[in-house]
Amino acid sequence: MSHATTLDALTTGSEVVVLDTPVDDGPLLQAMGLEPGGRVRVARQGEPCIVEVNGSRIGLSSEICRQVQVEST
Amino acid sequence: MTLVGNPNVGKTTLFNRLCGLRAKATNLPGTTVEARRGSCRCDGQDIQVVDLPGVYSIGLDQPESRCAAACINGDLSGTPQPDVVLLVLDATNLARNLRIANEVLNTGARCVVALTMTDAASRKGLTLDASRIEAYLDCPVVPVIARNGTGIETLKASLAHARSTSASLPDPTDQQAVTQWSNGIVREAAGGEPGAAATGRLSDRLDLAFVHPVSGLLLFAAIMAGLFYVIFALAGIPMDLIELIFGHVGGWLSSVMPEGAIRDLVVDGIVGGLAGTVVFLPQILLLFFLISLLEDTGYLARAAFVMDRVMRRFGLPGQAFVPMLSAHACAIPAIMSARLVPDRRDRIAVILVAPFLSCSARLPVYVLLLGVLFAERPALAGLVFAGCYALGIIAALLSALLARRTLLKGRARPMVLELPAYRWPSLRTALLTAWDRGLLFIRKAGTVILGIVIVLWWLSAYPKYDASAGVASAQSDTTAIVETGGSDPAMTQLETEDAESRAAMAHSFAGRIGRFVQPVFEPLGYDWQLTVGVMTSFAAREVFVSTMAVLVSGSDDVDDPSVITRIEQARQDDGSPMLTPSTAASLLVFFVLAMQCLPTLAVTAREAGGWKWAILQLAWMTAVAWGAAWITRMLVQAGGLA
Repeated sequence: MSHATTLDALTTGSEVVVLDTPVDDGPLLQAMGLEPGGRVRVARQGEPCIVEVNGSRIGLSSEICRQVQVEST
Repeated sequence: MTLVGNPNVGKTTLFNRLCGLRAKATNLPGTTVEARRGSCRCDGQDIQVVDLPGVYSIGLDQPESRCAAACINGDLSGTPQPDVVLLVLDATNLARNLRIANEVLNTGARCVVALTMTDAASRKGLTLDASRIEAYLDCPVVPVIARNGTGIETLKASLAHARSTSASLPDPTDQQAVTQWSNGIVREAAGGEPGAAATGRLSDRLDLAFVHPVSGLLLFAAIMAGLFYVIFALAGIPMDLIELIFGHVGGWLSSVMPEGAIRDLVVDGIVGGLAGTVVFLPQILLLFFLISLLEDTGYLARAAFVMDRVMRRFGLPGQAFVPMLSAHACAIPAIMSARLVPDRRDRIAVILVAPFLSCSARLPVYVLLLGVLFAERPALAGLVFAGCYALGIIAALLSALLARRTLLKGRARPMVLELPAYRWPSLRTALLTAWDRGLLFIRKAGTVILGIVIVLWWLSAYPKYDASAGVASAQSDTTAIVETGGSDPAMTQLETEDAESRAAMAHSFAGRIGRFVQPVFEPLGYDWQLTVGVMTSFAAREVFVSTMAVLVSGSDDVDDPSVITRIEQARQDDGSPMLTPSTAASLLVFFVLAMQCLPTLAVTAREAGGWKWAILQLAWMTAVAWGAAWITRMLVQAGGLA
């Protein structure tokens, strides 16, 4: 079972698939590996939110997390 | 040859391996993007190497990204199109790194791939097959471990085989195709699923501690305080040594040169001025050495998030951490690097407040004044030293808040930053960084500051003082000193000469200017000598110490006194000490906050888009500094100190 939500709503440790990234920072996030179809793991929730993508860690302010659409699997 | 790659992939370490000391940091022509240039000996000939700043893509709307693209395509004036693009790819994160490889290969540039972090990759269980990656990319692929130099010779040899790829590559704008392509390579050649190379749980735990709202902030404060204490405690030895050497050089020169104006210029003007500036080099080297070590461990990226939480409340964006951090070295590159901040209002806010942060040019002044205030208490001096930095940060943040509420209404952009893997810092990188920045400081000291010091020496030495005309005033000074200071005949002799040289200074151009402006600084407790120091330091703050050295150097009969002691022991015209605790404290606060840097104003005007911003910056900072210095003096005096 899967359902769509945003990155900020997940608990630490969840693994999800990215659906969509915000318009403003989308190109940068995608270049950093946070792209639609990519798998991410939430290593820390809060401010900042830390996600793990392809073995690298990215810190995101919660404001951005609210705009990242994800699908939990 | 040009090095291109993502941030944090070991590009700089590799560059240092290739070029070593034969490198320096410069701005790319016509831009404010800093790159390092060097040369590397390879196959009997010298290759010019440019290390571009790390970027995630050459297609982003960011200064670095545009710059990297322009450099690869040869569109950058003054920098020829590179014969070879050295793609630096992180083996532990190949899937993402292959994106930029695809972008660069698609430009048709002649490429060689250096696969870094291969040691970390094998620790993570990845078995990299360079020849298979080579087949996919159709250009040489060389695994290296930049830290210990493994593979560097092979890499150099393969530069000759650089070629434009003829492999079938996906369109860089088609995200899905690129992902499929890169994942395919990782699966085939790295023996793992893309994304399988997870970082350890230890990183998780460290991150939790370092970015935690409470423990993160405490750790940040502790690390910064420790950093400054180490600088304060360790720099003393080389500083003493430098003072000793310059003292001997000055003594030797005055013994071999014929008496006259030229000897005065060389010994008092040039050697004295140089000594007063170079003596602080150890601190600058130590600071950059330690900052580089911290950066290398991966901690600084976490600190950025800790600071972001604080800065956001004051209307500054996360990206402002980079200019704000580098403003602790010098406001000029910091203001230039504010171009990293995408939003114009954010950017102007950062530019306006950046000079509040304690730049390395203030270090000499802090050291001098802390020496006066806390001569025998290094721990307390270290604490107040950290406090100076804190005061600058607080003033910058409050000013930013004020600006965001009034002139630049709006809020800051949210932050995105990669957190590099924790690792043991590289001593070599830290040493080279310190060397780089030290050289930069020396170059600056050797030109602008020396010029100012010579002009100042001239202003303070001319017009020549006629001793016979001033005997009366010198004698009356001496009488005052004898009355207040005791009856040691040897001291009286010295004090007489001292008084004469002070009278000579009062007679000089500098003395006249200082006396004229002094009433403005009277409420802060500054006499004319300190006023001259403050005025001349407007050109560059570090000049303050050398100005004071030249101004008070009349009493050098005493056994080769160091620059600092000479200033500490200087007296006002009435014989009272020039630097009392309250004056030193108010002067310290004034220097933390005042906008005393002519070059910075020019850069502000250019980067913010108008002189009105520069004038606003000058007026605001001077007003804040004067007010805070006055309050400080009142508080210290209320506390019972003179």
